Amino acid sequence: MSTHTGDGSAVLPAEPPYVPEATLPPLPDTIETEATIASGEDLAGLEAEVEDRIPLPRPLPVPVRPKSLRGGCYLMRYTPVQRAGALQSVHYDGTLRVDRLSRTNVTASGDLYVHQPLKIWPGHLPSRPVGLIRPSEPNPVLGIPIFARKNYRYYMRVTQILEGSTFANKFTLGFELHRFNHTTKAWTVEGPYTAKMVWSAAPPGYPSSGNYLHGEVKTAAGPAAGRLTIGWISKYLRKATLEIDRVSASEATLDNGAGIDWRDVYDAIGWDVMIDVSDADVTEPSGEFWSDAEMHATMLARRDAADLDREWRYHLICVRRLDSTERGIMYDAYGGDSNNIPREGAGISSHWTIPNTATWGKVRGMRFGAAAAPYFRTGVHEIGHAMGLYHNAVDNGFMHTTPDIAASAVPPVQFPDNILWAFSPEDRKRLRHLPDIWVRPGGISFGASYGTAPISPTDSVEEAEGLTLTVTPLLEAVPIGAPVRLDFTITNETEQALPIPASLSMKAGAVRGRVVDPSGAVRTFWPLVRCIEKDEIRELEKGASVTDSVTILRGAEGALFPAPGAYRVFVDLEWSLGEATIRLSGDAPVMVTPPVDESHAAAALRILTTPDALLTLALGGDHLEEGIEAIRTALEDEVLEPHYAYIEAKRVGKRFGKRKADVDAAAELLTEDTVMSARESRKAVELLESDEDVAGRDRNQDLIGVLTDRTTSVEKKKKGSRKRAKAKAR
Amino acid sequence: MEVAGRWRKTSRSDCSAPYPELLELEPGGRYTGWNETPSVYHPLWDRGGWEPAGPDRLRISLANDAVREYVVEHDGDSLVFHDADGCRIEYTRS
Repeated sequence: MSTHTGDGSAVLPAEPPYVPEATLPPLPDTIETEATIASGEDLAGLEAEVEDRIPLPRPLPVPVRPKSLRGGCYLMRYTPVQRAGALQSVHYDGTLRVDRLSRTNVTASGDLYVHQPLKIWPGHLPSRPVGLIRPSEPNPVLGIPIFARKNYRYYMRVTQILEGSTFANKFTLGFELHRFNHTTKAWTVEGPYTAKMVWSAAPPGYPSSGNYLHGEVKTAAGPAAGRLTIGWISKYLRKATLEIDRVSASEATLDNGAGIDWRDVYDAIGWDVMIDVSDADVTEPSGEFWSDAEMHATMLARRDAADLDREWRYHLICVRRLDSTERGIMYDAYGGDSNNIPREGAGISSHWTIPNTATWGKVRGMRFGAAAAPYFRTGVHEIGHAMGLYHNAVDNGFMHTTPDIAASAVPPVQFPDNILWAFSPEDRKRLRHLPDIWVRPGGISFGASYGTAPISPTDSVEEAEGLTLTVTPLLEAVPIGAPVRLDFTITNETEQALPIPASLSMKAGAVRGRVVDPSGAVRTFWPLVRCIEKDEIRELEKGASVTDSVTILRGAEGALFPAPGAYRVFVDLEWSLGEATIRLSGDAPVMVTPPVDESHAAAALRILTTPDALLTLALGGDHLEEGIEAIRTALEDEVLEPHYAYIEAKRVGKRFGKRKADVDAAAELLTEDTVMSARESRKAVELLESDEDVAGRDRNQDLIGVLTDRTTSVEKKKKGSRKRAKAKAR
Repeated sequence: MEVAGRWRKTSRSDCSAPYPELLELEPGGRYTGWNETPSVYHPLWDRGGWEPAGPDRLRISLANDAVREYVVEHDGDSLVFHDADGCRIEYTRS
């Protein structure tokens, strides 16, 4: 509750007092807490581990209870520092999802909705408001709150939770705020921020008095940005309702016929979903077959509730047949979304006849509604689309396609026994941690790329223990407008082989990163990844190293190096290993130097403002005319020419459509001064050696020799540099 | 119409942007579509089925499991789709 002053402005509610940081970590107090408590065995190991880091009094006082964030949903409030002269306070309410995978590993994310007083205007020509109405605060007694979509403002991408079952009464929370633009559907990152979160007693109404924290939020530069409070309200992460309606001839799909029902499916992803099995007598508007528009209209007419700002309600209709497909469809997308409120509903078909072929195993020839397992699976799959998920062939889970699963059965196992009754690990994470506005009905339209949405990094595993990642820029200073080339090396420092990604190419999906500019702003670069995910793994022998390179220019937020100054580039490797995600990071500084003359400035401007320049750099080909033109501009500038010569050589040296490869032209572009990573040098040698013209190959032998030598010398130089870096780190 | 194989999109029009940069039409009637570069769109064709629907038509399922029919022009290494909204999506064999 807020209190009001006479002028209508608000006074912030009283909050627990800020506890100043002590010099030494204080021992835990004895407040009753329901926080995750390590088992006796775990506790013993933990004490030994902690003793290595901080001197603890001996013997440890009893009771000693390590504190950690309890898994589940927290009611969150963020109050930014009020602007000078502001007449009314603004704060944000929302939820924080803490996904605790083990004692020390946690992934967390949150969403914030603006809580702003509504201005009351006079009935005639308004000049200024005459009063304010303050919306009510969410009540923690009522569990997970639902906020109005129009108030959605921020996704909180939690990057750091340094609680690791701490003995102290506080921990550091690191996060970014991604502001959502409702018009452009784009995200703008703010931060990074940190907050020293302190446990304190919860105000009345919270179900767990020991799981309430507050802290002052600071920017990377240090000034206070605001205040954050979080209080645990539910063991679930999200809350929704699924309404199931049907025509009288169709079954309402409720379970898989083998003990797994809707609640089981959603409990496994941390969603508290109420199943509302409702109408059983929906009228068929035009016979057996239903169009997308008919399903949409029926949903609007028959669903039990329609206020998506008070309830996340998804709708599933079971009908005999579908016009536009065989088994099921999330019709509320593309042209099927007639009310422009996306992802509200889906439909499945009970009377499609499963083909009578061996592929369909035990359900061949059956009516779909009578085949409980695939019928239920299709229902979950289509509602998965309504929750913002796309097809995913990584396993036989819910978002893979039914014919692919049927075709993948290996005798003696037959379809549907090979269905995996779970979401894939990546989809599970998406449902738990993608922004509210992505997953909730009526949010972002179906069809946006996953890459456009922020998501918290997974913190599900210890940093790849035994492996190190060293990042070394090819050039420590590059002229503005040039791409930055980095080598990165994974080293196995243990006495046993360890799993690593089979490919370290950006295209393989394991490599991504961040660039922090001189002001502290973070820009990201992503893998040029296939949408169908599959992590290939290989082993790195004991003591062995493997090196690869990236060449980066642009990322999700535009140019990565848009101005001169000192940058820090982080290369992050992530790969899946069974249920876990392994992460390994390294970073290096890079200096971007200012333009030396007008020609350089003009060429750099052209490169930095042409998005296709990156695509040309990555893909080659002749179809990206603007990108090719930008790179040609760079080639005409003597400062940037060495940095782009290989990119143009790669393009002209490869066949594209009906144009033949011109290896001679490629060779003309390459010289000893051409800036190339080790990977690029190897590729250049392969390119020159691919010349079908023997005379051409002979002509280029000297150049091939120079590049081969340079690849070797680059490797040697990098090894020396890495040794120095490691020695310095030690 | 022998269209099975890997195709790379060459169209740069706005209307073709939701279609995948790469399209692998498998001989058995399944396909995979994906982007190699960051895009604001998830590919309209991501994983699903395809089948001929006449001498110059293909039916392809979409990312939301709907099935759409496209008029196609196939000439050697060129494959052009025309969608119901009049968009022309050009691919070349990759």
